[in-house]
Amino acid sequence: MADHTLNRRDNLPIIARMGKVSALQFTLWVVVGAVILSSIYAVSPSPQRVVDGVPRLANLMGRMLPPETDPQFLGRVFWRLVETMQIAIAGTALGVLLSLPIGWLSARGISPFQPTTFLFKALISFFRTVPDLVWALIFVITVGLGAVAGTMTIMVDTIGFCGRFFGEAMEDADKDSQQALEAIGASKFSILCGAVIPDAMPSLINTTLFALEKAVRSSVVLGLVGAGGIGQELKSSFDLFQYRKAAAIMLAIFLIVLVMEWVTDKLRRSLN
Amino acid sequence: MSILNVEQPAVGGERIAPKLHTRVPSHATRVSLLSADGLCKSYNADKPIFSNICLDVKEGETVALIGSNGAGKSTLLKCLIGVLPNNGGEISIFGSGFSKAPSAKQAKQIRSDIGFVFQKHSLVARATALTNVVHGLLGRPGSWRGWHHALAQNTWREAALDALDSVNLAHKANERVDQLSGGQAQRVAIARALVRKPKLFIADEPAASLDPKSGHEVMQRFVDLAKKNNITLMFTSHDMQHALQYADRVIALKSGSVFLDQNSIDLTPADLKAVFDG
Repeated sequence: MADHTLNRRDNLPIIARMGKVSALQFTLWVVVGAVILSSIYAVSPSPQRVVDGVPRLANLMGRMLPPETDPQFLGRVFWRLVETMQIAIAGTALGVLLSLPIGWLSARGISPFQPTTFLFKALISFFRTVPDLVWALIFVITVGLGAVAGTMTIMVDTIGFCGRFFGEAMEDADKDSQQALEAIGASKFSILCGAVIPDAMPSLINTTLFALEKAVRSSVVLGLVGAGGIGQELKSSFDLFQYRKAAAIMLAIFLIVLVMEWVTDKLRRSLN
Repeated sequence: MSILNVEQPAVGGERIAPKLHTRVPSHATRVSLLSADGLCKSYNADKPIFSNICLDVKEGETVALIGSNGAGKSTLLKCLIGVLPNNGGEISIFGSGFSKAPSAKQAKQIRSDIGFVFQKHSLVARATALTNVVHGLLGRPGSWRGWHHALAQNTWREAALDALDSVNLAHKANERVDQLSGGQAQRVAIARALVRKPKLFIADEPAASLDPKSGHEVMQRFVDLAKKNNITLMFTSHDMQHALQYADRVIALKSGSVFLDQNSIDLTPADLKAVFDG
């Protein structure tokens, strides 16, 4: 028995612990490691700076507590929160509405203008890659301070997010039903409305809910650059060193984001 | 219903037992609805899919196109209705002729007179049965309202419900297709083809994705509807029982040409065996 085991082991091939690494691969690993380490060295906080920051953080926390509970102030915060939600909802709704045609025009095999799909993909990528605070600055300059600039920012941000996922969901929609309608003589638009959208609907709704969640988070900070909402109140509280008010606003933001995530999560679960 | 088994009785020249539905014995006097003369198709010049195909389908006929896998049945079907271009030969359909491919206007006209049924039902799974049948009218004037039954005009909704009733599924009109069985879904697909009031049903392996019992139910209903409404039916099948039981005529493809074109009532097991041998 022992001999048999010995023979079997002798016949088995030797498996290396690691695959062979070429000179190029090794060089690449070294370069990637060097980039990470040099970045950490250049901009990460030193232990001394972290230690020095602790008392200042404790001091700030002390000045923030207890959060402001003045009814007049809380009333103002409430209406700012309502405005924030309005920015998020209106911006998401407009963005989703515009994402549907843009997503359609960017979807390979679905768009009625196949040679130009890459142009719409590029447009969506552009909307997505420019940060929302930069869009907010642009719209504050073009349409002025306030909620309208915030709504337009969320709208463009939503197109960047939903346009991509709507297009992909349309590309992944069941091809058999589309080909059947094409054989019947249905137009591309009829195929979109009759077959592609119904089939992609769960994905479209899921993406919309994520976009709404994202919009609520974005809309609370847009006020920092003057684009309306609760962020504007938060900025003025910090600017005026009213830290107790800032703490109350931060708690309100935390609550509203939490509630929104809970609601969208519930909706997603019921959808699935 | 007794089902013919062509593999078991190896009686060489004996004719197969009579079929269960009413047959039209001769089509010589009927008008030609679809014909092909010298039809060729190849994707690769060295290896034609089929060549010199000549066939003639008469009005009101039920024709089965059989052959082993890869014989070119589906490709021939698509070439005959102009969905795929051919590499040579002439096609005449509904009195209009073309070679290679039909013009855009011809293609639109041809499609408007054909009801398609595919191997997999090819319905919109998340839409209701009624909406799917209304989809059959897309491509007609006013079809922008045909995406959903709730938007469609009353005449369309009534026609769709009638078509569903013809396949005995009016009671399932408001159920989503993904809640129906495979056989029921294929009957909805037949209703979608029927609602167009076509001159010709084209069905590519309509029962291939169904279990034998559902397959026979679907084929029986399909053939009955075609006969009742005087619609010509041309279907592909690799199931000999279906070809013999439901078709008036069987056209067999083998090695890229028409190997057999005969009334199904005259076919012998030896004839069918020869189609798949070699």
